[in-house]
Amino acid sequence: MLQATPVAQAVAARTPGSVVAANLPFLLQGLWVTIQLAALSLLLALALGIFFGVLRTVPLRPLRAIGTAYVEFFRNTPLLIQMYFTFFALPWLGVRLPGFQAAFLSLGIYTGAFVAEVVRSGILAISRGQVEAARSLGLSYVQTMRHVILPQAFSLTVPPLGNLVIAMTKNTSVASAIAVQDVMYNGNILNSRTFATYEVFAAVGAGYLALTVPLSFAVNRVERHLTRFRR
Amino acid sequence: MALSRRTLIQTAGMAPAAALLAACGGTTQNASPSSIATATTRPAGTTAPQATAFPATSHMAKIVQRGKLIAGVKQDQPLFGLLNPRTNQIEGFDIDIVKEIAKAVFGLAASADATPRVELRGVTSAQRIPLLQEGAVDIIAATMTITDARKLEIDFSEIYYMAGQSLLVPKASTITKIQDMDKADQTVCSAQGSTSEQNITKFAPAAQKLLFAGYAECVTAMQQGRAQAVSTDDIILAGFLEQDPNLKMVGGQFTQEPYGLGMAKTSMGFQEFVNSEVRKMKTDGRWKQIYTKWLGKVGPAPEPPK
Repeated sequence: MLQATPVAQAVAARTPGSVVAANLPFLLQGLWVTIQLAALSLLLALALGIFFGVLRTVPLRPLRAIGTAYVEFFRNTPLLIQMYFTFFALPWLGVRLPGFQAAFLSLGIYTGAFVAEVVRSGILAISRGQVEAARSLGLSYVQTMRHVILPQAFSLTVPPLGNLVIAMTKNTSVASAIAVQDVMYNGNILNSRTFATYEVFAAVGAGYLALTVPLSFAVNRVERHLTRFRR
Repeated sequence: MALSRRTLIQTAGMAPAAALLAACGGTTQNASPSSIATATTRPAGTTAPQATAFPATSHMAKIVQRGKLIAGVKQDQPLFGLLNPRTNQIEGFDIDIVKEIAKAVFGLAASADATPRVELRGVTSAQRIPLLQEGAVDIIAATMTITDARKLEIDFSEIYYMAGQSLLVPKASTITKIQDMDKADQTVCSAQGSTSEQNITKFAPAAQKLLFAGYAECVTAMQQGRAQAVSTDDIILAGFLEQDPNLKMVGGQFTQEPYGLGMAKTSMGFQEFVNSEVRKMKTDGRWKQIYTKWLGKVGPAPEPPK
């Protein structure tokens, strides 16, 4: 991808919006990084969340404890600290991740803890009678989960998951602190070169809206689709 | 900070109050002419030889009458103005320069301790010009770069320190100048939104840049091999150099930031007085002494700036 660079503009030559207009490629390049970061982190968060969410409902105490430990540790510490830790502290243990990978890992693991809680609550919302019925029909525990419980739980979890996806998309902005060149980072750079603070951050905010509003609509549609039999 | 809130308010309020009294005396009958009299006679009475040399309207006479020189200094800039948590005193290059000025104002001997005659007030960069314009401080010695835009607002002394952008690298590094970084496989670390970052683009356009919110992150990143050099003003780098002996500064200064002492435009005769003192310091060895005391680790004292 071609590297866009910020363009300075003489203050006298400015009209409202001209700084952003002149630097649109630079901001869009940042937005593309934001999209990639959000998409990859979402996949990791869903994978981790489903795994640990189910783990917290299995009838084996030590496994449940592992799930609980993961959720409580990552849900209860600030994302910024987790990112700093992944970026600055892991190298002392011999793992030196580039900024993007560190951000993707932190964001995925952090969001995964919230997803796990949503998945767990979805599973617990399905009545125990269904588990008992499935087991008495001869289905194994894994088969019960896969064919009976999770499909039903999934439709229940869509609205809260949608919330998490939107929150996570906005949380990608924290990655600018570890020098990931996302739309927030490029916005900061542009602001410091032009001092067109309101204009630049209005544009950055609009960039996030352009991602989250379609996401909201998509979540609503999925929800309608999944609950079509219940209406 | 060493000074209590009460002394701060008292001293800050003093100069405007005196001006007000003087103004009243001029226009109305009942406002005490005696207050004007004391204002002019007291300095001559308290501090003998030097004070009489200042014209009564001069800013120096005002300082002598007050008994203290109020200086705005940085309290978070290592080597130049830093609050020492153990002694609760602000220390550094800028503070020692201010103390020399105070010695001259109060006519103290070169060996005397000017500490009781100086009131230090910790300031942020954004506060420097407003505090001078309000008359809350007599002088600003806070790593302030002389610029044309600022000259419209305040008076500057001669250059008392020439700062500039430089490079901080690991001791084992073979980098010797900014041009060595001008390659696609070299990464320079600096702060997001700093002028330093823009200078890197100017002097080493091919270099990769790693930008954080502050320079502490940069030093850590360099120690981890994420960047080959950290670049910003040499005085900031010197602060890190003091903390980590495995680093070195190279490449000299590839930009120039002339630091000046700031004074209010309304301070009668003070700029000339301070300038002549700064000039004396540069020629009689005191400047080099102060340089060596605070920046000796960076290298031997250069010739004072012109």
